[in-house]
Amino acid sequence: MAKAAILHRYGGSLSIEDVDVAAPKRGEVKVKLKAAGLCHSDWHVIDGTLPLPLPIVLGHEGAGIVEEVGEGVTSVQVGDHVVLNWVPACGRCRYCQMGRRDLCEEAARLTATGTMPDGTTRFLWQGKPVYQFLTTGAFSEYTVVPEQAVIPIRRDVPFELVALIGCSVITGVGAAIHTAQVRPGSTVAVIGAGGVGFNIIQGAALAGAKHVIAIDIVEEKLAMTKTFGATHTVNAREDDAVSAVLDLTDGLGVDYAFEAIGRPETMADAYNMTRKGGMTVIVGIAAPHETVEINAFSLPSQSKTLTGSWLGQGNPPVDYPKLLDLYAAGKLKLEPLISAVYSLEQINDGFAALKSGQTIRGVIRFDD
Amino acid sequence: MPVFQSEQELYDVLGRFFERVAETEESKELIASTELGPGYDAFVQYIFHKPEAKITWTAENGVLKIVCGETDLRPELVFEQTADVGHKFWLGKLDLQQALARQQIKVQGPLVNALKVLPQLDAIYPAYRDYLQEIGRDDLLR
Repeated sequence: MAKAAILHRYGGSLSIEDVDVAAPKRGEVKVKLKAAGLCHSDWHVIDGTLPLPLPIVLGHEGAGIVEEVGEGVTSVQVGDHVVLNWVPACGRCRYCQMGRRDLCEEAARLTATGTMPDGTTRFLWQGKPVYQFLTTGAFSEYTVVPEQAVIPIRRDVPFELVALIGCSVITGVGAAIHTAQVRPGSTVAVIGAGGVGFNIIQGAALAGAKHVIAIDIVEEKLAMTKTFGATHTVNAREDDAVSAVLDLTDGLGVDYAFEAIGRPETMADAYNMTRKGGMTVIVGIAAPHETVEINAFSLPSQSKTLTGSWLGQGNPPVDYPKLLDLYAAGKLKLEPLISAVYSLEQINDGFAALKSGQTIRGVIRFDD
Repeated sequence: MPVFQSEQELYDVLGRFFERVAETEESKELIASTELGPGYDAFVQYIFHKPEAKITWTAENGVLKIVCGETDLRPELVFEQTADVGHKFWLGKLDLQQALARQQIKVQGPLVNALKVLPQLDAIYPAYRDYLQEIGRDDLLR
């Protein structure tokens, strides 16, 4: 038995229930969760903009300790500290073979089905199966995931910080370093100062960007972006973001613009504030039915690169340990990303705070 | 901080300036040579954001008439932009093609009609600067 936060209906709150967590099958790992971050992607499922089968255990930005391993598991053993990996790449599909594990077809299929690779789930509530979000279902005291969904990591970093690596940090830092490949001396704009946006900012700063312009509508968060490497801030509630960025870049626009909110209007803004020949990277997740309007003439005449970034185009087995090493070396900030720590029972308070836009990241700490 | 702090301030500055433009011989000639498409009774409408405001150019007895605020007039051409961008445009500090490409200005209607008029605006940009100085709003020139 384990306590888990279950979504029973869209628009509802999560309810804390006792669930049965099955033993790991061959190639699977059971994890005792120690911490899990509250992400906008979880919220998108709650509010129905990312429709998935229900009931479901949400949560994907998790960290914990290996409790039990199934037959054939070789990469981890009981007692290992791990980060959950919500893109458990199969290693066999065309994209994995091309080196783009972030685009793994099998992982995308599991995202849609809310199941393990065999089509079943490891959670049971009142005798009925409960789906697991992004294969992980991290808002549970225990979860069972495929072996590829656990990344062993060093033991000297607190779990609340480790959990962040699995989504907001890799997504943000990876978007700057892997997707955009921000170059030293370049100019960068980041729309959206949330868990991901802060990490894009520190990723761009790590890469040596000359100017990093943070754009948001909450003044307190804008002030905090400076500690992550932002050199300028724009309050989009007061000023037009595109005009402000053009003013700060001699009318050129920035070399790289990132959108980390998930709204079509701000995605267009990111494109519009990118210089000719520059790159726009969309990281925020919009609802599946939404479209972005951009100027058609600008496509050939301004020759920008417009792309997206999923999981920071990262390779978790390599990147997660590396990111934690950067933290240990004092080059990556993690503590200031956490606005509040909640118990599992307080999870709805955490989502209310997330929805208010006032927090960077709320984290669930599980009882020992 | 936005250039105009309120809808009324925008009308007092940009609206009054447009009224002055309406009195010029150039604008009278322009009105005389412009024919509105069927179903339209206004040439152009500027929709501003930050602050929200609306200015419409129509004609009355062959003279350009400026309508500030909500109206039932049906404009043939609509320009939508922030007030800051509009202000920059009339100062002559904005490249229209670039502003369209960056969606700082969005247009509905036959843009080609507006593009034809663009060369004549070269004379208006300095007039806006002069007007701002005249009304003691040098602060808006910075």
